[in-house]
Amino acid sequence: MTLVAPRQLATPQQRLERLYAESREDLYAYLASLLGDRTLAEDVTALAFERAFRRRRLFNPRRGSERAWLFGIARNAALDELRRRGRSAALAGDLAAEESSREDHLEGVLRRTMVQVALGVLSARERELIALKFHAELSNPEIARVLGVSESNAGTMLHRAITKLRKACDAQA
Amino acid sequence: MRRHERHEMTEEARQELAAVDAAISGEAANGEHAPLQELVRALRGVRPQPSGEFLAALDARAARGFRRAGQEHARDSSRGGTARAGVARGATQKPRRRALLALPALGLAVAVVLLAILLPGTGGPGPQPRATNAPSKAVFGAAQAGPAVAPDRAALQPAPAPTAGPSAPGEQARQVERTSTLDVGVAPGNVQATAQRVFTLVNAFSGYVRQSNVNSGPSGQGGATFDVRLPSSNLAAAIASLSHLGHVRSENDTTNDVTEQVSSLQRSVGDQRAQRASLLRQLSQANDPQRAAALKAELNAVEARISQREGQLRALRTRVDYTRLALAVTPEVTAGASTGDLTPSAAAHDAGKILSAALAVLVIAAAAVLPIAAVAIAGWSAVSLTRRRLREQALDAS
Repeated sequence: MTLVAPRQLATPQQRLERLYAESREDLYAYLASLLGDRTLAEDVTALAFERAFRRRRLFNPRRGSERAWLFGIARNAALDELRRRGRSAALAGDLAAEESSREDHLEGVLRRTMVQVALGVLSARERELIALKFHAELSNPEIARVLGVSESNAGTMLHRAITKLRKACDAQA
Repeated sequence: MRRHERHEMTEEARQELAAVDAAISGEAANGEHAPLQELVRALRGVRPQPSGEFLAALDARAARGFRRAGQEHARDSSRGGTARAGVARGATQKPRRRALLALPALGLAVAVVLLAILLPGTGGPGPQPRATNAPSKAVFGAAQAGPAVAPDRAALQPAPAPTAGPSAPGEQARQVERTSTLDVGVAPGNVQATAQRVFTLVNAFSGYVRQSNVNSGPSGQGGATFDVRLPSSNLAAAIASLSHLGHVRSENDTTNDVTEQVSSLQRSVGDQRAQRASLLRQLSQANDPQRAAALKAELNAVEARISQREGQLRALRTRVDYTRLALAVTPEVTAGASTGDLTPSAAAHDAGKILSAALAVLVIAAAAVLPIAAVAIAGWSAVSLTRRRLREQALDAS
């Protein structure tokens, strides 16, 4: 996989290669948050890229950015998987234990634990919004495109989720 | 997600979201929004990170363009177990769904083709000459070529009885009276020659021309009409041959089942004969002159009725056995191409007819396809909506 300079991105294949390089970790982070299962997140990440490669010629720039298009494909694949398995999205579940060894600093550990507990208070939809914004770092229009809602609705829902998360964090402090 | 009511964001919400965006992009936040920067940092701390092994495998698949992913998943059953196998199944189900989606399209194509084949009059311009096993090539060729050529004797032999005739198997008892009309268009200069061929053909099929009127006037004003009687058993073959004289402008067949009338007349004749026999017996035994005179008068009346009924029966049987054909030969300016003369105007006329027929096929196909397409679109929309709702329900249920 080679990165191609923007001015050379003429073909859908080249644009998709660049999208892959820029988005693979963000997409995995979003899917792991949504599915609450690292193994499944890996599979769905690969499946989403596979579908994106297969449908690359169907991408329409007038309907949103390529990142929003890719995350929309990934979201559909993840929700199909959730529906088929009847699984629950447990963001603060098994992921929390695996993250605990990453940062040794006590304050960081405490802050992370507090956020994980606070995330457990949120609904699945709110956790998805947080993951799209903070883990995948999508813009508000991109989030709106992924969720299939208006930009105003996406902003309102995101603001509510952040407010709720902050309150949950404050309650623990 | 769409079911959420529409909300206008407050100014405060806008500012906070702008501050979140700024914090995510690494800009320093002011005092009021400093906690947001903390939140961003904390959330980044719990951001799931992919393993190096996974990224390496993903890069390798990306380098291959993510081809044959389903097969790779299926082979990789040792790693990931049930979860991977499930996703692989999801990937391989796609071609099956595509095949299901292709079915309606295939059905549409078959429907259009069938319509184009089955609908009459769409195979070409004007009525098509019917198939014939009677005097054909020689007479047909002579009719088209112009010069009168004596038809081949063998070819002019009347055709076998048509299957639709009154003598067809299963219809022996039915007595059917038929009348037909046929209008054949010929080149203006061919009216006279065509009229001669009409006589020849009618004779060849054991028929006769009861009345005729041939007018070889100026172009567009001439023409010929014939009142023809043809044996009903030869009707179909005769009309097929006559149709080859030129371009068939119109053709009409009318049938009238007179079986009941024939039976009724036969019964009536039988009754009258029986009455006549009785009257004759009574007359032979009558001694009284007045009585004998009365019986003779009655006998005369019965004889008259018998004669009348038998006449009606003969006329009816004649009409059943011989079909009346009203044949018209009409000069046509544009009939040249159909009768073998290739002129630019005739070719343009034929081209117009072909285009009209093609347009008709398109209109009919559109009429058939559009409702099916509307149903397919509605179905597809319903399926998409249902799938979307199910996905959102899966998220709600988590």
